[in-house]
Amino acid sequence: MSHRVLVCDDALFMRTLVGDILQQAGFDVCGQAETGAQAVAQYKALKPDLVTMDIVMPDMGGIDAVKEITLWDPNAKVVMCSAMGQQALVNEALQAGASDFVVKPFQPNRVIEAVQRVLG
Amino acid sequence: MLTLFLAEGRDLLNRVDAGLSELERSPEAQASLDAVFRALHSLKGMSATVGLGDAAAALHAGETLLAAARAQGVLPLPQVRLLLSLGDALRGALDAAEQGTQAPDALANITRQLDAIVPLSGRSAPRPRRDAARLVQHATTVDGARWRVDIRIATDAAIPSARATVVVRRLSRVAPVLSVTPDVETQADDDWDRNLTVWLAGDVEPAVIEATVRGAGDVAECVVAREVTAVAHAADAAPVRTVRIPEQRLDDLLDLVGELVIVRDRLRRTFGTAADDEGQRALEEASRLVVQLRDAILTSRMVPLSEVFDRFPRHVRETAHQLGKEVDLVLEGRELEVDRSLLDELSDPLLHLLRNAVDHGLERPGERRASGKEARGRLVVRAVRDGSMVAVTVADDGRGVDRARVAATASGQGVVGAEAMAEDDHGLLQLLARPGLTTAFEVTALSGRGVGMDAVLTRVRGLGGRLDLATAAGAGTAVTIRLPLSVALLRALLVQVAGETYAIPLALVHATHLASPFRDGARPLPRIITIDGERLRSVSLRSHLGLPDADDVSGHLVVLEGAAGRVALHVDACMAQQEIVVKPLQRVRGAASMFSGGTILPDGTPSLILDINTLP
Repeated sequence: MSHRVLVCDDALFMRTLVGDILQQAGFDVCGQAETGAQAVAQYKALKPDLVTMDIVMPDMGGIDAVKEITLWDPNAKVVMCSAMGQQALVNEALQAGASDFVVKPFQPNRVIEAVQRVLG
Repeated sequence: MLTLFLAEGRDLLNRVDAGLSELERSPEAQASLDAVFRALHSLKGMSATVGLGDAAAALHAGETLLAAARAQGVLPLPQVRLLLSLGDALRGALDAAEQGTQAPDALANITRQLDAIVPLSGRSAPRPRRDAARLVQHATTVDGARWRVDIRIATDAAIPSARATVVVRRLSRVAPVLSVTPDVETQADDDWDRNLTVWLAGDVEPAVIEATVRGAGDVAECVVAREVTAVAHAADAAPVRTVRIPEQRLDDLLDLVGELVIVRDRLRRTFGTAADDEGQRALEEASRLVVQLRDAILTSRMVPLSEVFDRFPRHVRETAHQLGKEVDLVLEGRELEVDRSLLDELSDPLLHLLRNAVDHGLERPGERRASGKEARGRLVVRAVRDGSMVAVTVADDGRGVDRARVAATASGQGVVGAEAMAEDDHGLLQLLARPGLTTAFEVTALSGRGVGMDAVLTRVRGLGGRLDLATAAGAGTAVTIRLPLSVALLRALLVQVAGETYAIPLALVHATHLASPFRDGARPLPRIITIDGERLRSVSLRSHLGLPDADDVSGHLVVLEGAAGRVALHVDACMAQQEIVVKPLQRVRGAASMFSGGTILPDGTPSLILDINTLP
């Protein structure tokens, strides 16, 4: 059975891009979220195997969402999606419980590698 | 009282050394700063108490420096070096106190240097301690095994500092992370070189560590090495109540229990069959208790190899530095315990082998790169238990011994057949251990210090041990010292000559043969005899001991691994193999030099232990 992934990004473009990359690699994109709060709610509802999480999102940021999610499920696997120059935020997210990160602009193989590392 | 001070003082100085060595690598190692500070502080109080004012003053200056370093969270490298020389000077002062001589001037000199630094660092605004705790999760327990993991993040990695965090987080799931260098802030610098070193505690397979690191992604390089730091010993070890006992008392106890064993055997022989059931049971019970007592005493004399091993990192670093070489030192088996007296004897030969490896074995970085090796040489000291022996191997991945050169040098000194000897490792070792040859090879960079290969061999054999060499051109050299775990107890072959029984350390016995086939009716035995295709010198123990040769043609030949090659020793008879308790001999001028010690045999008769290095 393919792994189920929840994709969180406030930009539809990014959600679609990441979703396509994952689907083409055989993952099951089981849900999408536009805000941190949605991400937390979706995670609890869907219990996906993995989450890709944008750092900067309205409502509740990605880092706070990571904190919420890992509080609820300490084994949650979250890959942060960051833009260049967000070094400090990525580090913060990792401290908050994220497992790995990828940096925009996304290269499909980099995304897949990160996801597989975390699931492996 | 002075004895206690000296023993504990040296102990504290070893801790200072260990802590400073750690600080040399990571100048912000908080645990080491604390450990060194505590050790200096303790020693200061002790020195003042026994009236060593100079030492106390120097220690006070050192302690002040450490106090400033603790406040700032870092001890700069030049100050580490200065404190290391303070340690050396203090050792000199302790030696002087022991011998009742004047303390060396070095101490006052270092005190002045320390005093000169302290006001400066005291004036500078205290820098807040870096928040290392964010990345470093301190282990609550530290196992003996520790790992140093050197990692390089790939050049094309995005946000290398975040990648480093991923690596460390993953590692912390397989083993307690003790320390990470550099710290998070340095990693975040743009000019960070992407090299990361992580120290791990705990029992974990190196393959697991490497897989974990590589699994983190964007890792260009990962080297896992067993790491030795005495910090665990100094700062983290669980408190165990100990009593200091002079070594002599333990020696006396061992002597007494050795005699008790002999009395037990006599009792057994005398009453073993005559005693009734109750008597038998009491005798057996007593026997068992005697053995337990002996084992307990032997155990109490055991100390971990770390006491010697922990001096190696600094020693190797300094030697390598002097010679312009880069070395990774790996120490394995430092927790292995050996008899105290053995430890003292191991130290010099091992230091010599290490120096040899760095000086002659390992190539300079440029030469290594040219031959497709890592620029940093690898030096491994590995101790393993091998039955009742301990085997310590010093192995390098250097250029290997140049057989042709050794053969040429030996030939030049008149050794016949040197070329053939140099072809196999055993023969090569014999050539290397020739006193003249060692000197010829040692006069490179670090001559004049310590002992030569011949001295190593003599020392090891004198302890009933053996030395082995394995070397391959371009691939490296490994020298293994095998010694009995306890030098006080020795497996010996008992031989008889003229009605007297002599003991030969079994480790030196290569084989035994009946003598008669080699005599061919003639007496005395020919000077050279061929055994298993090998031409051996024959020596009669009778004539060696100054006794007339026996008339009969019987007896045994004992083939021994002598210092100058194998020797066939002719004895009247081989009696038995026996575990004996070695008693040192009072040196009687001349006569005693043939013997390395004495023992009491189970039947109560005394026996001498042959020092086969004195055989002609």
